Amino acid sequence: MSIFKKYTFLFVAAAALAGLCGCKKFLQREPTDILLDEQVWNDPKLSLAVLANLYNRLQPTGGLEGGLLSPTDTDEAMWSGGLGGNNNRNTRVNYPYSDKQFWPYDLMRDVDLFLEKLEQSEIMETEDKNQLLAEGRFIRAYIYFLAVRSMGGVPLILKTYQYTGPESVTDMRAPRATEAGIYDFIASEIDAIKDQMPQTENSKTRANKWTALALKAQAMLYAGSIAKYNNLLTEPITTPGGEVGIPASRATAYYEQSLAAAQDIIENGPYSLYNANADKAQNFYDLFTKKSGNPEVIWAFDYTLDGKYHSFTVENIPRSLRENATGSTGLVPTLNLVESFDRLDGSPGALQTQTANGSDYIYYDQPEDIFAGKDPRMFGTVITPNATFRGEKIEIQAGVMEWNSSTNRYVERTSAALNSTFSDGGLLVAANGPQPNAANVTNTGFFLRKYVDSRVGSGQAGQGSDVWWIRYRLGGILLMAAEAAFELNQQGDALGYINRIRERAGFGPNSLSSIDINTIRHEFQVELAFEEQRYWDLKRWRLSHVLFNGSRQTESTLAYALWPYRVVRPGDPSKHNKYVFVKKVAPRFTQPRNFRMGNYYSIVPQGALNANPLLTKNPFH
Amino acid sequence: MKRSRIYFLRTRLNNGQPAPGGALKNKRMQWLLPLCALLFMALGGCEKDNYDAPSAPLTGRLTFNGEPVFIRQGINVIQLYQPGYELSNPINVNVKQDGSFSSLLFDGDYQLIRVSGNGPWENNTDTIPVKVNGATTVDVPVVPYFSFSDVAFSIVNDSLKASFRLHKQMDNRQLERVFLVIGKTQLVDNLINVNPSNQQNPDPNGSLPGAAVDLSQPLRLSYGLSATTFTPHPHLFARIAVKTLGFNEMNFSDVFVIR
Repeated sequence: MSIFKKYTFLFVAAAALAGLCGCKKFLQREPTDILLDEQVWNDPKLSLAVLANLYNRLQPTGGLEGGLLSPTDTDEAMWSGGLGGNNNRNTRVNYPYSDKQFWPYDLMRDVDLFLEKLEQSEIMETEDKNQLLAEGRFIRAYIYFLAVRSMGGVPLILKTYQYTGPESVTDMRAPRATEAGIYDFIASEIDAIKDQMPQTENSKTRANKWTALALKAQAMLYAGSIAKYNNLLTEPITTPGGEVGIPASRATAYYEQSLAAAQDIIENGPYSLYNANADKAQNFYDLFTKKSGNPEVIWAFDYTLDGKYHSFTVENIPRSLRENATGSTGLVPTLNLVESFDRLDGSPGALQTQTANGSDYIYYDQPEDIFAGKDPRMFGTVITPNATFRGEKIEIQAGVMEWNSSTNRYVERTSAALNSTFSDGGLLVAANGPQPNAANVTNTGFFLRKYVDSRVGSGQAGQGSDVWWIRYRLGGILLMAAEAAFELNQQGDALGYINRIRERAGFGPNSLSSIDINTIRHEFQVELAFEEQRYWDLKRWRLSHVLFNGSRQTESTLAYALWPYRVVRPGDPSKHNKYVFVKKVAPRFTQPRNFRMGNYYSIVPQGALNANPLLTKNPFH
Repeated sequence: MKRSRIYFLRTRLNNGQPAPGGALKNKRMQWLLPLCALLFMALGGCEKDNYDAPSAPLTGRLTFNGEPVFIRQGINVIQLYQPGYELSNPINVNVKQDGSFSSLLFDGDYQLIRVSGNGPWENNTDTIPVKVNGATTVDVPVVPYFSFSDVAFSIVNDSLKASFRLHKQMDNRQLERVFLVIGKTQLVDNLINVNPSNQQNPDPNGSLPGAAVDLSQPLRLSYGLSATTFTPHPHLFARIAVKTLGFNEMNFSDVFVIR
């Protein structure tokens, strides 16, 4: 058998080769495709790369990518883009119990691993090491904050576990900490690390002392309001073990901690309100899109056109400006939000469409006239009819109202074609709609401006936008300080903070002379719209189930629209070619929002419950 | 057997062409392998997947003093647990709006719980043990915030009239509102209905605020059926809904068929 001879020869040759090279450890070579523990943890640059990975994974369900749809969870916006899956935001009967579920223990393990490995590293300079350790602990505290606001108390895991066999599993099980316990952990971590972090602000994307204080101000405010407002419910949401619910007696202490942290930033921090543009509306828009030298931003999640960009602009740009063959007009602001912006003279912001007795429309010379005198922040947040974006006038018109003199009534004329012309030669339906059931055409009569990039090219799918996502900014800190001060009966301070925000917005100095809690909440609503705050604010104030109670008779449950029409009435020159407006429920928004008590805390994943009998469920699930 | 295996290999090597000289023998081998597989599956198949489908129907209803309790369909109020297994997933039981439910189970011992806070009734965390053995019936008692009696609907001059009595079960509960909900399908509740919105001028007689209600007297509600939200629908159904202050889930009457 010749084949055997061949194999034998090969075997002998291989054995000889191995024998010759074996003493030089031929088979034990440094790997060229992975980095070893000691290489990573002894080099500040490589450790920093690990940290960068953690920063990048911080907020999987938020921001401009994962959080695209989150404004539709509140009365800020509805979905007006494609008619596919996202449209269920307009038709869902309930918020699912799994909504906002956050059980981040894979990420948490990597953070704990980072801290443990770094701690063991001996070669690295103490200063480098301490800063990286402090940043890692900040990230961990931030993740616990995201978890506690979704889930209530979660297991507090501060070390990694190694699987050594079936019997090691029992030791890995940890029960849920109390809700107050997680908030206390966040506070104590930040107190412990804030002096090891950079004391000056040299990066907007890495944490420093002020970022940590911002997290503390926010977390303590959440804890304080849960302690206060949960216990004002007819039946407070609690569990016997305190995994959910904070005793009312602790509210004051939490508010005090929040106020102290916020005041530290306001008084000692290197930040100031963005005020570079005299045009207040443009100024408010620039605050979110101008990245260089922005004095207000404390912590942001940054993007770059060198490969890390997002498609927020592709999704939300007005239809007439879209640069992509599909998409656009995803999130559209509701009339509810537009009306919530006050007028500069201090009067409420409701828009007048009909005469006082309801007998006739109010006729406006131009569509933009109905918004005269509104808070400039509204124009910085929302694109209203005839507003300018990217240097172009955004026309929004649903059709014409043609007067029928024989019936003495208007007849509504519309068309399925965008940018269509009426028989009198004038515009019928504008290039942007609105239309009742079309995809990627505004349904409410508005477009989103905040965070939508004005740079031409940012609406192309292959390129995208590099506008960053701001997590903390001084404006938000001022609001936190105002709320905490108000809850501590320091009305004077609270008023001062609110007036500072309003002055930057374009109101005069000291525009308010007195405040109550609703003024402050209203300021949160308009200043922080589309910044992923309102859902959580309503939740901690325990107002979600009141505002989103599922009833068609409650205005905040539905997305309202404002549709402009041109009047065709040649017989009456005072009305001919003027503009009238119709308020209505946005046609694509068919189901009132219904926030159940079980939505205040998301459901604990069943897989976690099965794996760990020590875990308890959240109420109502 | 050894020989035939070599033939088989050689066939593969020759791009499926029979090896010269071995053609006859090889052809016989080609259908032998699938046949063996088929035979194996036919013999072994009866051993696999030998679980019966759950076959014991558990039926029941929500009751208060023996009367059915009506709810909004789709709320998560009853869960079953079967202890003693590795996983502790609850079996969610869907309850219809008339308070009845049914679930196909395996025979065995179950624990039935009323999920706290989700139904329009007082919390009761007591577990109800349920022994399922063939067809089983269980009544789940609850104490609703408000119960109905003497419910009567009628239609007079294209207007829906309802008269009823309302009974408060616990002193500390306050009535917020009692109102008529009208829907285009048999499923009608505070979420699924065609009641006009505030802008569309709902009938003021269709709703009574809690402060205006004297519970010792029979109550009356009426709703004109000429509203534009009702007229396009060939079928209409109505229920009375009772909202308790502080709770979003409501107590309901049974469904009345308007048309």
